[in-house]
Amino acid sequence: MMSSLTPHGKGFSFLDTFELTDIPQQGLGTKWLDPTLPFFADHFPGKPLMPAVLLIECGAQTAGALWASFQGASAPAHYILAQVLQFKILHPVLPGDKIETKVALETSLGRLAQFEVVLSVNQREVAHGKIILGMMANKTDA
Amino acid sequence: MESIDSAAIPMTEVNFNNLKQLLIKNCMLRVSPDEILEDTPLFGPESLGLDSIDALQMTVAIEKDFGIIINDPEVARQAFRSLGALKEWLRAELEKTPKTT
Repeated sequence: MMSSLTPHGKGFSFLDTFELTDIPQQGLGTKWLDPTLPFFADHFPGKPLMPAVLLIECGAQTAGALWASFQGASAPAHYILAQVLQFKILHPVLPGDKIETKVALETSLGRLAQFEVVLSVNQREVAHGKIILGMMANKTDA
Repeated sequence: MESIDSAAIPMTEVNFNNLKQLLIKNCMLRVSPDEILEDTPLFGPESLGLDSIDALQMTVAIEKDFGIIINDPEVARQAFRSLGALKEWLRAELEKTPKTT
């Protein structure tokens, strides 16, 4: 069991758990949004709301964990978000929510891979989209 | 979550205009469509300036429109030299594909 699912520092990790699903090339991640996370204080004062860009980050980190699982990486792999093809935010996500992020690898070519991402809270879809991740050129995965 | 494999695959005719539309729709081009000719290089010097992300998008579009999967970067490099090269490559691949009803 690896100590961290992503290469990010603790303050920027949006993945608490990750598992492969029964469906090939799909995975499921979770993230509990601790109400004391710093960004809630300012986004927005008195009306905390998960920033939409961090929902995309949530999807990107989960997709990264899925991609790493295919490559047998023994340590969290370094991927970067290369493109957000589309992303729709359907409902607000609030402090204390537990986000479930489903990711599916759609295709890959060389150092790039495209994923479909669906985020839900309490089984209600809150956002979905498509993103492309790229492998960092000069970092090793292991 | 629907996968690409289960998506309906419309049979698009392989011709220059259809491939040009596919390119315009799926890639972030910085040139006028009028500048896209059949033998214009897609990548490299004197080209349309496509990058690796555009190449990935083209593979997704080709799988969706023609049901042909490209996951080998070297195959992509050859097929995506120009729209003319892509047309010939696609026609050859479709010839090899068994017809299903």
